[in-house]
Parts: sequence; structure tokens; C-alpha cells
Amino acid sequence: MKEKNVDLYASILMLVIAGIFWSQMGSFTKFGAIFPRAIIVLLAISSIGLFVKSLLSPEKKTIFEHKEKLDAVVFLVTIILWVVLMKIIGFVVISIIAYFVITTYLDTERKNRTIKNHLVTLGFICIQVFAFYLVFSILLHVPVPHGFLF
Amino acid sequence: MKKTLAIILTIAFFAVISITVLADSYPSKPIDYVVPFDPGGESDLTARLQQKYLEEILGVNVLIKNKPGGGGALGWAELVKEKPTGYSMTGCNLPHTIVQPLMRENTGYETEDVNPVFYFQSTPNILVVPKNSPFNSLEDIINFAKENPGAMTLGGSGSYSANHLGVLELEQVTGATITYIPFTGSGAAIPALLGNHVGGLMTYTTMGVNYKDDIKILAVASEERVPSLPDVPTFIELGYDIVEGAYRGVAVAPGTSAEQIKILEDALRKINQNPEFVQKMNEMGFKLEDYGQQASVELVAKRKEYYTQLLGELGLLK
Amino acid sequence: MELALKVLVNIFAIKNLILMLAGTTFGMMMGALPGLTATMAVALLVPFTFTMEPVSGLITLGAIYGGAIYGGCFSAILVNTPGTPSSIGTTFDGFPMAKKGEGDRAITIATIASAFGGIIGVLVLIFLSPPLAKASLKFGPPEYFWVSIFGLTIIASLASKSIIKGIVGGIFGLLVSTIGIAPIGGDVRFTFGLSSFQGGVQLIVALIGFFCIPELIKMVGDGAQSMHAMEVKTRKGVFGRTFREVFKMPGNLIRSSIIGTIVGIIPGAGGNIANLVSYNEAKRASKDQEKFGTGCMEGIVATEAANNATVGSGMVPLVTLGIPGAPPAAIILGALMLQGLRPGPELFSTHADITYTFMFSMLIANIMMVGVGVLGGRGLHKVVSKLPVRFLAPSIFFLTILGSYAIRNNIVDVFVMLGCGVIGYILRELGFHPGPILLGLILGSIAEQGLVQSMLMSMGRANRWSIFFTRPISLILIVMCLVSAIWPLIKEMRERKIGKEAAK
Repeated sequence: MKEKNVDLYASILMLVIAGIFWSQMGSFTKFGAIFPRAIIVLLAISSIGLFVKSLLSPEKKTIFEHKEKLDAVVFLVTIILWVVLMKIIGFVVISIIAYFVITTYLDTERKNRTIKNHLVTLGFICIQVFAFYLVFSILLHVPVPHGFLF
Repeated sequence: MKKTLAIILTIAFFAVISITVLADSYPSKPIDYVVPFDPGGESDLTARLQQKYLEEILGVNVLIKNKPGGGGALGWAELVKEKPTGYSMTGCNLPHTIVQPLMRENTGYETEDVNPVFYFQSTPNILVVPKNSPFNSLEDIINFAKENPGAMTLGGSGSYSANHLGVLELEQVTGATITYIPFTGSGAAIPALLGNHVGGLMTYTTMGVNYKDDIKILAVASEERVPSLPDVPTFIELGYDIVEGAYRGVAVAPGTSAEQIKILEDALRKINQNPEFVQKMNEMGFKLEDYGQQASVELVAKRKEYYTQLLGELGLLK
Repeated sequence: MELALKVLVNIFAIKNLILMLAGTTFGMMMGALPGLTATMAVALLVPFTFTMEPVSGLITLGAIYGGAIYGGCFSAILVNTPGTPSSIGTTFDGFPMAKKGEGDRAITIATIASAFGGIIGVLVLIFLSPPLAKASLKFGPPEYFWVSIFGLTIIASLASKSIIKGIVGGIFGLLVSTIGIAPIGGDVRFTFGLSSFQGGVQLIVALIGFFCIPELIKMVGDGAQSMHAMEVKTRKGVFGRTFREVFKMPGNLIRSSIIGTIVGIIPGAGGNIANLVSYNEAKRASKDQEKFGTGCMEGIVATEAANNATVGSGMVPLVTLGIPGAPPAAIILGALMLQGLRPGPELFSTHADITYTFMFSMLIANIMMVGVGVLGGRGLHKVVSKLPVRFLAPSIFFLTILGSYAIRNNIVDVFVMLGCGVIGYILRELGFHPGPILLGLILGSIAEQGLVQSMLMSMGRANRWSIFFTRPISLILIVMCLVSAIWPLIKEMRERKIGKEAAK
């Protein structure tokens, strides 16, 4: 894939962010507004500086380019679903499912695996997730997310 | 290794199931005590002191969980959405739960949804100056503030907190102009005071007890003198009708059954009468209060009316 | 004399030694897990110590605090995610070193530096508390403002490739810090209509998001079978050799410890700032600046010595004035109060035995940390390098959920963590380093409070701005800011000159 002028993209992204925050400034009190206003202006100025730099001496780099691009996409989608479904399905259950999906998908030898192999993996995952969950919630009293099943 | 884990898991499973099956008398499983502030603050300290006694009285474990953010608002926003199981109570504070919904556009809760069980303690405001300060009385400060509008600075904990409101009331009553400087907590304001970066602090009685060697306490904003600071005159004694401070209690989710609230209320009241607890709280500078469920609701309503009027008169309401 | 004997007896009581060991180990474990911080580790154990004698309780809490700050280096080195904000700088060189297959060496370096820094911090606490506490009070809002500006000037050394991008990233971090309730004025800012955003973006949550998630995606995307490219070399005598190597740079060790000590004493500033400042200074002092960021020892020594030095020194204002220097110290203050001990002169007179036992126990805990840390670290290193990525990546993500939830007991923080992760991934692909962004986030609230509180302080004065430029410590800090900001430019110009001459 071709190398892109990342400085250009970066400067545009930051200008957009500055714009979004500026539009949210609303009716802040005098002292609540001083700092954010200054920071937004500074962000805009420095982004313009970066924009100028992108024209003069841009940093060229490939973006979103990985050896196993599909793996990364599947992983990203899975972890997003993991968090989104956490409250609906239950933290422990979704963790086991998502963990198993990732592990199985990333397994380069998965076609040669027997059902027994998968069950062993699943068992390992269950034990790990339960162990951490129990140690955290019961032993250490660290707050842990709730949901269906625990 | 795997065997032991399996055993532990089985036991845990059965423990959970048996607890849910046997849940007929209240309370029969651990109760969460949510503190919507960071550990180490006034609300947290009280909760940790109460924990032991609560467990003794209720016969179940009480787990303290800190859920800080937004000056307590995150905790209360969650509280009002909870299911009324009776197994979770959240520390609630005045004037926070009144003033936040008044001053913010989207607080995530309404004052009346915070369902109080018992308000057990308060920390009246005190006005303090550093030991080496040229001011020796409330009168000195007011005179200075009148002669130099805005030059008198008083620090305190947070915006629209009891400390801030106390300064606003002092301005309103005396007609002086004082600059209030908010800090991120009552503890965070202390270095600014001891380093003479602010002229004084509007802070809580607890701070006065803790740092009494390094500061002069000029007045306390309670109706009568507080036991932990017997030599400090009240604002009323000095001729200014100001009573202001923070009240702390616990609340439960809206719709919690009256029986459950009664059990919690009785337990908390009993702790407030425990001599050991009373002594500890007094040593730390807290003033014990006794506002049961009904009295709490009335207290909140009364204060809400007062704050709405005060902030309206000052032109601060939106 | 009687006191010394009592302290000795107290410290070497078997029960207390065991508590020190247990506290250090527990703290280390908590610190090593991303999201579980020193503050939380200490807070969790307060209820347990409540039932102990005051001495034993304090010993435990002190050991946990030190252990947790140190433990943050494990995940920083092994998976490029700082376990606590105090180890952000450790990722810069620790992770590259681990990638070369020298994770055990990196951990050993970090351990020795941590223990050294920790001991310096405690020695300062024991012997220099009263005068230093007085000095810390000289820091008012204007000084905090300049401290934060000084902190921002080190962006240049954190941003590896381009200074302007580092600056943009830092300002972006500052902007993120303004989300939530305004510290002054109480406005609700940039919540985009969500009441949950009133609490702002938690530092730890952003830390996990910006560092860990992009790293996991990269790890999976690279298709590697295990985390560290090379086989773990089992080498004998790593400890002894590394020990000598670390002590061959006494300048770095001592400078970093002193930086950590000074930053720790200032209330409100802690290991999170100290480790980055110290990294910056180590880089500036080094003759061979190019090797920083590629896995050099100096970088690890600098950050780890500095962050552990803040543990002891952060308690200087605590024991003398009752002012906590850092959030974990605030919890220890609460524990002191619950035990009926009031900070201040009384701690050194009526309760001198308790106080000195507590302080000296922290020395012993630092020494124990070396043993526990090296052993534990090696074990962890083996697990991380042996466990295939397909297990490692989901395991780490599972832990980050637990961690970000645990900070405030709030599910929203898990979403924010993931959101930061996705943004962090995009920004990293666009060439931003997470370091400056996090630095901006750390310093944002300090800068804002310093700025606005100072303006309020000068309300009654004719000149609003003079307060920033007329106070002695402010002036010193301004000079430091200028030197620190101009230095990289001079360096670049000089290098260009040399480059041109060489080209001729």
C-alpha cells in the first residue's frame, strides 16, 4: 500500500476536533471558560502549524497496514462487541465467548484442530476467567462488572 | 491445581445459589455501601467508621465501594436508576444533591429522587486564617473586605459547595466583596492556607480540629457552638445570621420498601448512639445529627427552598 | 536510645516482617495489572489494617504503596502498558529492551533503580521532613501553573519524531482534561449531553486506552506468535551483572532520585510527573541521546528511580503538616485519623515509636522489593513471552476491563477506555505518540487550577497578571521552563550545523 502524508490527515483531524469542542463551549461562566478557550485556540494554531509542515516536509507512512490485517479487524470488532454486550449478556459469559472467539480465530492451525482441542481451550479460558473474576471480587473485594450470571 | 479450582468453583456456585434461595429475611446477603467520593474524604471516613458497627447490627457484610466523579453526581445518577433491592445504599450529601440539579443542565438525577434513609452527621462551616495572619476576628476580615473590594480571598472546597455558599451568604449579609477560590477538596485547600496563598478558608469543622495548631478559627456557622471546638464563637453570636455546612447521610434507590428503610435507619441511629463511635466522631470534628427518614425529607425540602431563594437573589440561577 | 531500641524491636518482629513482605507483594501485583493503581491498592487494604495495631497497619500500607508504584514497571516493560501512571516513561525504553529478548534484564534494572530511589525518598522523609515541608508550602497556585508549564516543555523529548506533532498531541491531552466539571466555576463542560461525562476522563482509563489497546491491535495485526520476538535467553548471573551496570551510573541514579523526591514533596504532583521529568533530564544529560527510546538502561533507571522516590517524599508534608502529597498518601492520612493519630508534631513526640517504625519499615520493604520483584518479574516475563498472542491479547483485554471498571465502579469508564483505545489507535497510526497526550491529560487540571486560582488571587490588584511573574519561586520555574523549551531547538540547530559541516 502507498505511503500517506499522515501529517496532513493529523492536522485536519485535530482542526475538526478543535471545531467540535468550540461548538460545545456554550454558556460557560467566565472562569470556567478561560482555560478551555485558550486550549482550543492553541490546538487550532498548532494544527495549522502541522498543516504547514505537512506541505513542506511531510511525514510519509503507511496507515492501517498490518501483516494480518483481517486478524486485527476481527480482534477490534470482537473487543468492541465484548464491551457493548457486557451489560446485556453478563460480564463473565461474554468474556468467555469473546475470549474463545479471538483465540480460535487467531489460531493458525485451527483447521486441523479436533473438537477435543477446542474443548480443552474453552476449559482453559473458563478457568482463567473464573479464577480472575473470583479472586478479584471475592478475595480482593475489587469492584467487578455485574450482569447475567454473576 | 485444576482440581482445587474446580472445587472452589463448585463451592462458590452453591454459595451463590443458596444465598439467593434463602433470601427471605432482610438483610440476608452483603450490603453495598457506595461512597460517591474518593477514599480519604469526610464521607469515606465516616462510612469506614460505621462499617464495623453496621456489620454487627445487621449481621451481614457491608462492602464500601467508592464511586467518585462529578462532585458525587455520578454516584447519585446511578443510585436513582438502581432497582430498589435494599442491598445497596449510597452516601448522600447536602447541599450537593440540592444545588447540583439547580446549577447544572444535565445532572442525571433530581433532588427528590435521592431517597434519604438517615442524615447522621454534619460539618458546619468554619472561617479560619493562618496562625500568622494579621486578621484576628471576623470583624477584621469584613472591614478589610469592605475597604478593598475583592482583595480578601477565601479558599474552600469546590464550586457551589457548602463552603462556597457560606462565602456567598457572608457577602450577602455583610455587603462586603470577597473573592472565593475553589480547591479540589477540603484537604487540597490546606496547603494554600498554610502557605499564605489565600487570606483564609471557609472550610469544615473537621479541618479545624485537624490543623488547630497552625490556624486561627474565627467563627463557626452552626446554630450553637460545636463540642469539638468549644472556644469558637458562632456567626450568630457575632451578629451575623449565617448557618451553613454540609450534611451527610445515606440514601437508597427510589421505591425501596419502607420496612427495609426502617431497618437501615434504625441501625444507623443505633450507631450514632454508640459511645465509642460518638467519641471517635467528635475527636475528628464531626457533629452528629439525627434526621430519620421523615425528618430528612423535610430537611431537604427546607434547604432546597432556601438555596433556590439565595441563588435566585444573587442572580446565579439559570 | 530507648526509642531506637523500640523501633528496632517493632520492625524486626516476625509479624511485621511478614506484613511488609505480604504488603510489598500485594502492592506489586496490583501495580502490575493495568488499571489497578497504588491508590486503589492502599484503599482496598485500609479496612483490614483498621483491625490491626496502628504500627502494623501503617507498615502494611507503606509497603503496599511502594510495591504498587514499583509493580507498574512490569506491564510497562513486558506489554508496553504502564501499570500505573508512574511508569509511563518506563515503556519508552523498557518495552524495546524486552522486545530484544532482554525483558529479564529490563526488570532487574527497574527493580534495582526502584529500590534505590525508594530508599533515597525514605531517607529524606526520615531526616529532612520539617524543613522540606515548610518549603513545599511556598508552592501556591502561580507556582503550580509554572510547574505544569515546565512539565509540558518536556514534550519535545517525549515526541520521538516531530516536535510539532508532540505539541499538538500534548494540547489534545490538555483539551481532554477539560471534559467534566470545571474545577473553578463548576460548569459542566464538553459532556456532549451525557451526564456520565460529568466526572471527566479518568487518567488511568485514558492510560489503558491510549497505550494498551493500540498495542494489542498491533500485536494481533503483526501476526506474531508470541509477544517477544526472540526466545527468552536464560542467562546466569544477569542479576549480578546488571547490578554492577546500574551502579556504574551513579549520576543518573542520584539525579533521578532527587528529581523524584522534589516532585513528590510538592502536594498534588507525584510519580506520574516525576518519571517523565526524570526521563527528560536523563536524556538531556546523556552524551548519546539517540539511543533513548531504543531500549537503553539509562531511561529505565531514570523513570523507576524517580517514581519510587516519590513514595517516601510524598509523605513528608503528610507526617509533618497532615497534607497528603499524593492520592495514596491521602488514604494513609485517613487511616492515620481512623487510628486516632493526628499528623503533625505529635507524631514525632507522643507517637514517635510508631512514626519511626513506619518510616524505617519502608526502608526494609524496599530491600524486600528487590527479592520479590526479581523473582516475580522473571516468572511474569516467562508467562508473557511463552503465552501465545491468541491467548495473551484477550487475557490482557479482559484485565483492562476489570481495571477500568474498578477505578470508579463505573461501567461508563469501560466504554471510555475502549473509546480512547480506538482514538489512540487512529492517532498512533497517524504518527502521534501516546506519551505527550497523557502528559497533557495529567497536567491539564494542574495548569487550569493554577491559572484560574492565581487570577482569582489577584482580583483586588491593579495588575491581574503580575502575580505570575513577581514571586521568587515562580521566577525560578520560569527560567527552568525557558531553558527546557529552548534546549531542544539549540540542540537541533547545533546538529544541523555539524551535519552541514560534515556534508562539506
